[in-house]
Amino acid sequence: MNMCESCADEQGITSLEDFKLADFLISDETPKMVGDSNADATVNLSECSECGFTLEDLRKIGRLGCSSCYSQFTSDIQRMLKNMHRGVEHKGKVPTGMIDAMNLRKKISNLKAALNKAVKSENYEKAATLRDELVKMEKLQTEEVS
Amino acid sequence: MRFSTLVKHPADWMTGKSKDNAVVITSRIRLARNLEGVSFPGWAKKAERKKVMESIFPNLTALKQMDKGFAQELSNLTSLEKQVLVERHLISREQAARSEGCAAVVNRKQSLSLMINEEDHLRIQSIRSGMHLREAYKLINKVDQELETKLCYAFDEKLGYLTACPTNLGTGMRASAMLHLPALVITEQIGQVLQAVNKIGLAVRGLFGEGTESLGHMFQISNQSTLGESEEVIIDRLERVIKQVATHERNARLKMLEEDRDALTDKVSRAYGLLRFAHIFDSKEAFAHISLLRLGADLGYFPDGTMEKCDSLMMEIQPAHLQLYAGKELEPEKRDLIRAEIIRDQLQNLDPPATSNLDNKVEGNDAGDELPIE
Ligand SMILES: [Zn+2]
Ligand SMILES: [Zn+2]
Repeated sequence: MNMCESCADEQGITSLEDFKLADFLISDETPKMVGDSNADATVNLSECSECGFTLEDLRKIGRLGCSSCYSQFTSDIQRMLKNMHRGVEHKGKVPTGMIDAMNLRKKISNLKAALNKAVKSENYEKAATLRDELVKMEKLQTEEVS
Repeated sequence: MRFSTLVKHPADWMTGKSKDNAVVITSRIRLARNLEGVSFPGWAKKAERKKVMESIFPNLTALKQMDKGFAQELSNLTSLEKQVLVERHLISREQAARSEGCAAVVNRKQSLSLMINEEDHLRIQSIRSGMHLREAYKLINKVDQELETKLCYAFDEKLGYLTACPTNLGTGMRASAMLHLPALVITEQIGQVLQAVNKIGLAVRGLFGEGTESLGHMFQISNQSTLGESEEVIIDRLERVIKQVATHERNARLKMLEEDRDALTDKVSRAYGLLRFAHIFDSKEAFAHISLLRLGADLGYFPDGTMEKCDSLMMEIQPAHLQLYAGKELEPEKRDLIRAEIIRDQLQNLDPPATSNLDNKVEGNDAGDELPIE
C-alpha cells in the first residue's frame, strides 16, 4: 500500500532519493509500510455509506474519505494500525469541552421542546420551572463562550 | 496584517532570537483535527470544502491569539506568495497547490498558524526557537480547547481524533525539532546517532537535502506514532532523545576544537571566504557554507549575532524569498547571482574568523547524558 504523500513528506520520505536517505539512516529497521500483508485474499469491496470511499481507494492514496470510514472499515484499519503506532487505543487528550458543549446544546433543545409542549397543553406550572431551567442553561452556554 | 507586513517581519523562531538554539534550532508541534459528518478535504467536493471553510474560518479569526494576525484564503495569493508561506513552514506544499477552499490564519509573531482544508479540515501549528516543545504544546492546546467548544470535531473514544491519514490517528499530534548537526556529520558519527534515534521509534529526515547528505547539516526528528500514548508521553520521549542528540553534537564540537583545531579553523575560514566573495551560489553550496559559518559562530570564531544572521540568511536565500526580494520571478541562473549578492551584502561587515576566544569554549564543557550508541 502507498503511504499518503504529504505525510511521507512530513516524516522525511519525499522522493526516491530520500528513500535512500531513509534506508541509509534506518538500515535494518525500515518501518513496515501499512497493509503490506499478502493475506489480502478477502477484499472488502463495500463502500463507506457516508462518502462512497472504498478500501481500494485507501490502498491507492493512503488516506480515508471521511471520519465514518473508520467505523465502516474497522477490521481492515485495525490491522494496519498495529504496524503503524505504539498502541491501537487512544490514550491522549479527550475534547471534554466539546462533549460538555454538545451535551449542553442537547439539553437546551430538549428543554425547549418540553417547554413548548407544556405551554401547548396549558400546564403553566410546569412551563415555569422549565423556563427557569432553560434560562439557567442558556446562561451557562453564554458564559462558556466568553 | 497584510502579506507584505508578514514578510517584512520575520518570526522570532526564524532569526534565532532565543539564546539556546545553537543545536536545536526550532521546536514545532501540530495537531490534526476534522469536523464530523463531512468528507476529509482530499475526498470532499469543492462545494463541501468551501462549506467547511466558511464554518471554521470565523472561529479562527475570532481567537484572541489571532488579534491583528494574518488571515487569508489561499486563492487570493499569488503562487510566489504561497511559496513564501511554504518556505516559512506556515502552510504545506499540498495546501499551496490546492488552494481553492483553503485558508491560513497566522498570528502576529508567526509562532502560531492555523490551516484550513489541508490534508485535514483543520491543522493547528506552533513553532518556537530552541528546545521548547512543551511551550509550543501549551499554546496550541489552549487554542484547541477553545475551538472544541465551537466546532464539532470527529472524535472516537477508542481511536481518538479521526484524521484523513491513519498515520495521524489518536492524538493527531506531530511534534518535531530541527537540529543543526555539523560536527556529527564532519566526524562521521551522524549515521550511528540517527540510527539509534530511529531504533527508539522516532523519524529522522535530512532537511534541504537530496540523496544521502543533508545540506546545511539540518536534521528533523519527530514522533512516528500518534496512537496508544498520551501527548505528554510522546513529547517526553522526543525531548529526552533530542537533548541527548544535542549533547552528542555539543561534545563533538568541543572535541574538534580541542583535537582538530587547525582543520576546523580551516573549514570555517574557507566557508567565510567563499560566502564573503563568491558571485554565484546555488542553494546547495550556500547552505553548506552557511552551516559551517554557523558552527564557527557557536564556537566563538565570530562575534555575537552572527548565528542569528546565518539563520535569517537560510530563510532569505530560498527560492521564493529570493524572488520576492528581487520583486520578480527569476530563472535559476539568475537566482544564483542574487543569492550570492544577498549573502555578500548581509556579511559585508563580518570580520574574518578570530581564534582568540576559542579556549573559553573548551573550558565550559559540560558532558551531560549519553545516548546509548552501539
Ligand atoms: Zn497524510
Ligand atoms: Zn467515509
